[in-house]
Formats: sequence, C-alpha cells, structure tokens
Amino acid sequence: MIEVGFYSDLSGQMISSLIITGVLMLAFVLIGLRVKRLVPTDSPKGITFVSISVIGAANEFIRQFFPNSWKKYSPYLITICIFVVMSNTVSFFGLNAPFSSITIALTFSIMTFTLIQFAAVRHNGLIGRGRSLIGDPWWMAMLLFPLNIIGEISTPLAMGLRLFGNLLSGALIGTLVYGVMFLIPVPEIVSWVIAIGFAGPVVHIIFDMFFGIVQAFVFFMLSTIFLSLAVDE
Amino acid sequence: MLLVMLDVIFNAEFYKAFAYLGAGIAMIGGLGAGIGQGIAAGKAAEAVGRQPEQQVKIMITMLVGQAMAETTGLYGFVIAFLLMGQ
Repeated sequence: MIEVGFYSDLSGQMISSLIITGVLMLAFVLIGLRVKRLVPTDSPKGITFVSISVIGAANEFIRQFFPNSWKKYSPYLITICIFVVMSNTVSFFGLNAPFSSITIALTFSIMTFTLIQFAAVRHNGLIGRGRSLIGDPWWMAMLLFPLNIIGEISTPLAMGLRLFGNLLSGALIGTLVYGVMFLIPVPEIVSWVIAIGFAGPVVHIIFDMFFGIVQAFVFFMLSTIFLSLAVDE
Repeated sequence: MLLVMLDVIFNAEFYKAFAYLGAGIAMIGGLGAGIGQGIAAGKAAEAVGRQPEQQVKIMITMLVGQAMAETTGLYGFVIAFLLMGQ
C-alpha cells in the first residue's frame, strides 16, 4: 500500500510533474473521445479543430525528417513536446517547474538515449549499429569506439542539462527578483504591490513563457534531428 | 610577505572560499555564450535586411541556434550553482 505521505514527501517539482501528467492524460482522453465521435461530413469546431490542426502541423513538420517511418515516431515526439511546453509554463499557476529538478531533466535524457539507441538498432540491425560505432577503418576501432560511445551519451545528456539549466536559472532569477522587493525599506503591502503588479509579470513572461516555449521547441527539434540521424532514412 | 602567507590556517571553513571563487570563475563561461548569441542575432538582422519576406523563418532559426549556443553558458551556471551549495 502506498500511503498519502509518499506523495506529500516528494519534492515540489515531482508533485507538479505528476499533476501535469494527470491533467494531460485526462485532456488527451477527452479530446480523443471527441475526435472519435466526429462525423466526416461535418467540419470540426472548437477544441477539436484546434487539436486536429496542431497535430496535423506537427506531423507535417516531423514528416520532413522521417519520410517513411514518421507514423512510428511522431506520437512520442509530439507527446514529449506537449509535456515540455506544459511543464515549462506551469509556474504561471504557482507550481514548481518540473525541469528545475535535475532528476526529471536527466530522466528525459535517459528516455531520449534509450529511444535513439533502440531506433538505431531497429533500423540498421545489431551488426550495422556495431559497425557504425566501430568506425570506417576497422583498425582505428581502439581510438574511435570510446569516442563514439562518449558522443552517443553526451548528446542526450546535453539536452537534459540544457533544459535543467534554463529552468533553474529562470526559477532562481524569479526568486531573486521577488526577494529583492522585500529588502526595500517601504511598508510590506507596497512591496507586495510592486512584486505582483510590476516585477512579477515581467519575470514570468520572459522566463516562463518565452524561454520555456523556446526551450521546449529546441528539445523537440533536437530529439527529432538526432532520432532522424539514428534512423538515417 | 612570506610570513603573512605562512600564517594562513586551513580550517573547516576554508574550502567555502574556494567554492565561491570557483563559482565566480565558472560564470566567465557566460562571456562566450553572450558573444555567440550576439553574433547570431547580428547575422539574423543582416539576413532579414537582405530578405525581409523570410523574417519568420530566419527568426525561428536564430532562436534555435541561440538556444543551442546558450548551453555552454548554462553549464557554467549549473557548475556555479552546485559550487554555491557546497
């Protein structure tokens, strides 16, 4: 039995990632049911139309990189993109941004690493994969094999650390800006007004909205590019 | 001068000084990221000047490239943050 204490003892980033996962699962199921009930002769309206056109545009984008097997990989890539966008902008709603915890950032590195390796083995076979890791002249394997292994590990690690550094710096600068408001020698109510009315929106729009969405797009694009390099179509 | 240097005692708090010093040195990495982002933005401005109709594509490419170039600065930041927590 898992007790309630198990969930309340988790760090704030973990809790907010669980909340985002739950909300996204619910939203996906509801939208999926609405899409399933569509009549082909009617034109879709509202949230159904928005989600269909977003998924269609994302599929078109992914198709440029995987002309043959885009149907296999686009669900994973779009889901990851939506999760990262949601989790980078979630500090608007008072939750901690999940990627400011290194546990979640490195989890995404491990996921990307596993996906790339499995896709490469699946499309090139074990022998072809080993041959590409060893390098072109086989007698250079002593030198090139460790370098190739380091290269395979370092790209997903860099992607995770990039998200972690961005979100951590955003959270830290936000904390500093909010904290410095209460060092001004004015009544506390004035500090609250300045923090909520003037400083807070600027910080949140720059660090949560703009950098969060740019980083989510970069993560999506980099995983698409590295996956298409591994699949090599 | 030599006597003063020899008087330094290595106590339990001594490593904190070096941790803060290392955090400061690590943030020098932000210099390169800033220069790189500036070059990318300048080149994007040139490209928009040459082809104003491609502005959106150029801006997306610039933002992705800048986010990539930011990585080295962020590594410095993460290392500085870890050292501050020592």
